Amino acid sequence: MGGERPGAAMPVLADRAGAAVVASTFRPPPQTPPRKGEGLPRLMLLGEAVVVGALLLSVCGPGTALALEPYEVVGDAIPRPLGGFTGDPAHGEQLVRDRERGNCLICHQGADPREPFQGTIGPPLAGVGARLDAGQIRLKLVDASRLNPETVMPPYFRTEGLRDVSPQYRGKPALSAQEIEDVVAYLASLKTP
Amino acid sequence: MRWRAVLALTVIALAAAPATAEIKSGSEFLSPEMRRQQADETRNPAWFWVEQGEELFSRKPQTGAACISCHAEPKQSLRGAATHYPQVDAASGKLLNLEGRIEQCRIERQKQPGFGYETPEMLAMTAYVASLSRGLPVEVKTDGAAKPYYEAGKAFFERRQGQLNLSCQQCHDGMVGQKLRGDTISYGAGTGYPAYRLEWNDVGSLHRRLRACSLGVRATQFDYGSPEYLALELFLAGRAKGLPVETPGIRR
Repeated sequence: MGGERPGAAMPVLADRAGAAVVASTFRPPPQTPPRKGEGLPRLMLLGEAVVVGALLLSVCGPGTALALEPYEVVGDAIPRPLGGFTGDPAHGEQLVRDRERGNCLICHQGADPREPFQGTIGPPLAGVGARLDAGQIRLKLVDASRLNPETVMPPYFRTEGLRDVSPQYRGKPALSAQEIEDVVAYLASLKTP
Repeated sequence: MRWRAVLALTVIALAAAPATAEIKSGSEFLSPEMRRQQADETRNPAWFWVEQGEELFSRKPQTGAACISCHAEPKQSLRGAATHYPQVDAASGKLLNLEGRIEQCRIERQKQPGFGYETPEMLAMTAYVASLSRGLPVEVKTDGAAKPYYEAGKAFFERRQGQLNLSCQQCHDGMVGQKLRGDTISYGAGTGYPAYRLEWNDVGSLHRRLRACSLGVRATQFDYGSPEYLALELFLAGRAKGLPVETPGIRR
């Protein structure tokens, strides 16, 4: 450590011109709303071995990668709900808005025009429930690259074939099976363009 | 024939035009007011760092020489120097960006402890030295010894990464001008860095900005000065050839 380090002599800029802009342009980090049934998906079909297996894993090994619930692609859709879960559209709407979880509005114009600063990259979400059925929406969320290899839509329920994933996200899907179903339920309800 | 004359003049004009980048600077994506603030030394906060760097440049360490004892008249002698970085260091064969060259000089020639990446001292010094090239076109070498680094940077730019499985190229070539929430996607030219970024309320290096990009797609954040970001920095500079150096910039 050289004796000539300016250290504390560096300018403090908090009160300079930029700060006012920052305050008006950038929000504090978003508050992630408490998630219902953290780690404990609502089970609809208790008899299903897959679901029970996933539950056992989540109880036995927090932090270890879970095997994703299997699904079947039929044409351009995944007709059956992931894990047999029933989606909660209200929670789905929260996930769509939430900047940490779904963060859908970073790229899409959502159904609520009052929401500030929405993205312009993907198609608008209003009316998506009239354009696509639930199974088609589900596949687009799970892994849209199965429909279009060049897509910019991220895969929200995939852990394989990804490169340089940040350690905190490695081995985990962006959304859980329950969360995918919540978002599917919400989007399928958006019938009006 | 009149149109032939026009055509001939056009061909001459095109041939005489300097090589210009096909991409636009990040400044083009700022509001007019922010561009005015960037251009005004009394309102651009990053000039504090430039002034600090200028002071550091002349300050003599307790042992050894000040930068200015070798680089006299830096406004002339170092004018344009930053336009050639990153560059391959002839002695070591390694790719060095401006931070790397300053650190090398400090350790090997001045025999001083290194500043370290992203320290206030390194940011100030880099901002100062780069500011001496303000307005001059980026002119990095991407062939010869630099070619393997350039190609590595290009491959990094083009490959999908992170949990969100996106490449740099998908957004910064294919989606330029589109809105990511309130932000406008730019070409990813690094010509304003080190820059004062509103999101940081601070001056940061290009590698700090790249780490934020990696985080955005939930990919591994490589180290400051890592081979990955150095190669990417060269590729980005190659894309920005012909664009003027704007350091110290203001970015959102």
